[in-house]
Amino acid sequence: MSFSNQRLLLTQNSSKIIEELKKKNLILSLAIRKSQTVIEENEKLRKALAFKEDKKIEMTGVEIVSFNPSIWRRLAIINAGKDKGLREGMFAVDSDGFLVGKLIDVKNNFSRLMLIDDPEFSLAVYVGNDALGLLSGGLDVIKIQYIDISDNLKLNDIVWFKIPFISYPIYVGRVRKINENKNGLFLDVNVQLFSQNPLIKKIFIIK
Amino acid sequence: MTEKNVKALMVLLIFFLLDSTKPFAYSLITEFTFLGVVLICFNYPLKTSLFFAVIFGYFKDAISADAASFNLLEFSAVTVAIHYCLRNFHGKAAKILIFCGALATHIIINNLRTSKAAYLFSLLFFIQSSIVFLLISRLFGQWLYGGLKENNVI
Repeated sequence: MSFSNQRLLLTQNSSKIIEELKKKNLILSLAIRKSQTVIEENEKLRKALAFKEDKKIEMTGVEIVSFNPSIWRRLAIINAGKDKGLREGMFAVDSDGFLVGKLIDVKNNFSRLMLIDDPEFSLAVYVGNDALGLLSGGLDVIKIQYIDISDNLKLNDIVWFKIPFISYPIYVGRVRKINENKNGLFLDVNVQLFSQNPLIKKIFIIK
Repeated sequence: MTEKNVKALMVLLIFFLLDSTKPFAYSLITEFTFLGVVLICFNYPLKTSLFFAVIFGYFKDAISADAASFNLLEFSAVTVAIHYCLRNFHGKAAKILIFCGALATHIIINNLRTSKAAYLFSLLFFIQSSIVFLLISRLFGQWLYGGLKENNVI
């Protein structure tokens, strides 16, 4: 075999080896990406477990499988219903224990969840120590209405609420802006949510 | 069903899936199904557009669990209105105005429906939907006709 033929064979072999290595590299990077996702999932579950054990709250982990196709509503469909003991009015929290929304429609094996920023969402909440108001969702801003003007609210005060049978507060967000209402009797408070719901897939329903 | 109609069906199905799964979460403020219905109106005759508008309006109502067939009615009305305008007004500027009119109608209807005026959200919806429509209109035109057709809005 001549020198040029030998060289050609060697080059062909090298390109085959390079091709094989590229494939292996791709498989390995996919495996790394998969394990990173598993690690993130694991971390979220650990946080949720810590929250559950710390507060002694009974919760069920569920997943968001679909959203309402309209961008004007913030409704999600979750993969659990009456089969897992869910009922209308139950609250959903993320892995950090921050409020995400509440169940509005429970079927046998799926349910509809209204997220906090849905325009029809409303909930009685506390701000700071004991100021009581009505949180209402919205696409532009999430507001708390009917806060008495005599309540001394400050920026960054915590917004929270209580579920009657649970002795711990569930946190919603913090005060971002305080405006005086047009009629001068109440304050309008803008809220910054703790839970960044758009990226949530795994959530927990408080039973 | 002709090849052209199958393409329309596929596009609308993909758009409906995008709306239902929201891979861009709520960071992209647009409704692909609505834009798809408008896109079909600009490229297909009334009968075909109305057929798809009714089907996808019904799908949207079914998944939203709306008691009233709100989307079915809205999509059908928008389709008929767009075709009426396209028959009476011609030229690129008219098409752009028709598209903007359809978008504005959708915004007003949804603001009334939620009974809360979301001004900033509506503005973002208008801007982002226009940009997305520009992109899908170009891509769909190329797929449908193998190049740009004068019927394309932008």
